[in-house]
Amino acid sequence: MPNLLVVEDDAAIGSVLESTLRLHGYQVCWRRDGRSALQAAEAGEFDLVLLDLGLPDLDGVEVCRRLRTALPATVLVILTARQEEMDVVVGLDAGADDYLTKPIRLGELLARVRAHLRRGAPAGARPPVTVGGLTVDIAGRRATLGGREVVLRAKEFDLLARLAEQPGIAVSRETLMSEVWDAHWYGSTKTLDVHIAAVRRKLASAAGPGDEVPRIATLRGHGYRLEDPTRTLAEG
Amino acid sequence: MRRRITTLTVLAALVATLLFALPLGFAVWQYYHDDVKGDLERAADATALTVSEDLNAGRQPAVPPLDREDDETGGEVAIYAPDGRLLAGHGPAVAGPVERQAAKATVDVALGREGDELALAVPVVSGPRVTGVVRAALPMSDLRMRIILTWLGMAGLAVATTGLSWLMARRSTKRLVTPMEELAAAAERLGDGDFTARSPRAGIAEIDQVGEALDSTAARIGETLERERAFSAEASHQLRTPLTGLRLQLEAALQTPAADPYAAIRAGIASADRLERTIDDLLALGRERRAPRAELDLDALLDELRQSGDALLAPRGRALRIVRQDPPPARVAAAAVRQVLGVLLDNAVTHGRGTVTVVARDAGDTLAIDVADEGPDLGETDPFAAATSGNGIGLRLARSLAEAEGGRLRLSKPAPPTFTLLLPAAE
Repeated sequence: MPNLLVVEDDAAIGSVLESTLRLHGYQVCWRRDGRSALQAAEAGEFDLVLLDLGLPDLDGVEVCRRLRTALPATVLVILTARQEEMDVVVGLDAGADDYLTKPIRLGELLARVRAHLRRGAPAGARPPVTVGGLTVDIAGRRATLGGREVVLRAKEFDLLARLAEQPGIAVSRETLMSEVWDAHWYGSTKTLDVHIAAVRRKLASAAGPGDEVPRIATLRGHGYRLEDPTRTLAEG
Repeated sequence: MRRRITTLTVLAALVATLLFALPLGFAVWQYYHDDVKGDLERAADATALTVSEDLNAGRQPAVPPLDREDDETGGEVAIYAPDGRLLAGHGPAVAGPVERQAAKATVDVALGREGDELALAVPVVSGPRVTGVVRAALPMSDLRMRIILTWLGMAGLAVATTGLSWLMARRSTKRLVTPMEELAAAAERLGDGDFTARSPRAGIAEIDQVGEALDSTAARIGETLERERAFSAEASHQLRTPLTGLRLQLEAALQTPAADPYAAIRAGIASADRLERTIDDLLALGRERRAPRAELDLDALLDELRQSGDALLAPRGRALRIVRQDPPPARVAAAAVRQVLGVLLDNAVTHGRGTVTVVARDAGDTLAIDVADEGPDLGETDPFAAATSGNGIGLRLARSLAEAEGGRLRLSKPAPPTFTLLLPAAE
């Protein structure tokens, strides 16, 4: 049974979250402030954390950063009433994997939790995909660049794997959101942008001299495309 | 501050005057002594020359009238026999120690104090025989008077110099301190929440720079505050209407137990959706009010940062590293970003250690600038709250500035201390 940590100071929202998630078969630990949440994180293992950013005792983003340090493998989803995109980016930059803005719709919340806990698509025996110097081994959930491993978080890997499936072809934001996050939700998709930025950064820092590093091109208003550097050269 | 600068200037002038006046005073004393001695010697020699013939012949000598040239000091001259009797002129009746020393003819001139007089004696000789002694003397009080008068003159000049330096110090202090006081007053008004506070220009580049920074900060924060105020006024008004509808629907459902509760719940959720749309619209409106900005010239800004950073860090033997990791273009006021980065750099210089690293990167359609140093772990301390060190104020102001630009500033890592400025990318 997946183990969830809910950090929410509002009693009404907290109790609804707790009872609804229990009803859907999750084990829930509800904490009302940042300090007790951090204590809980140190004491136990969690698969997913729902963290409200407006906490009475500590700055929510600070709690997010410390939770990320304490629980490196856990999925961190922030809940925020602040709809300003910048606050969302701050939270994602502090280590969160995803965010939901209040008011939350229960259906959407449950779909997101399910999507995050579903660790990648059933891999089967698919052969590794190679794009330039990058090899994405979907079965082994490993990505290597010039033989060196690129350390990626779960959703970052899924995103890269999805883009690597069709190198040179534009993948729309909607497709990425629905296939990687299982979210049929076309609002502000900051989560996607932040994950793309993280993947780009990790590819760049893993690259050695002479590596053929594939580039993730942004297509404004549409989506992203993974470009094979060797093929671009051949065409040019 | 005024008093301190004035006191310092006057003290410096006083010390300089004293250092100069003390040796000079001593030199004056020495000069008058030598002068008087020379005069007395000339008077005595002239007299001795005149009376030597009479003395050698054993006649009663007479003190000749002296030329003006030989008698500038106006001392008195007397002639003594070798045995010490006063033969002619004005002087003590019996020769004193100075005359007796001269009478031995072992020296050409004998000088010394006799009572209240400075006495000088020369022997008159005829071959090996001393035939008499000529004495010239001047009252010590005369000499003292002359020295004291000169010293008083010097002291007067010193007082005048010090007074002049005090006047000049007061004038330049006023020129320096008045704009600083006005600046402090403007900052205080800003602190009290008066964002219309503007500091006057003083014509001193360094002070004016601070004034300009303060003004632009005040303008920016004032602008944001005004926007927020207008927003909250509008928001509370706009939200009340759908909220009232929702409330009425729920109350009506409660009062008619026979009705289908699901219909009321569905209607309530529909009202909640309307409420949410209103909030979205209001937020969009708030964003639109933000004045459009030109695209930020990040390269120019980072070059400036490199220059000021090198100037601050190099003398301390520290280095500045600037890394560009594909930063996206941003649409924010360069002045605000410059000030925020200035505060972060200053913070890293004053409170941090080692190399300062600035990384401009893409944080998902957002420009992120990290400023890190190799200082000790900040642990759980909140650098934005550290008002006691005087540092928190700068950081807090920087945070307000970042937020006024639609950005954010926060401590992203306590070890190594890393601050991250996030700025909205150009659409």
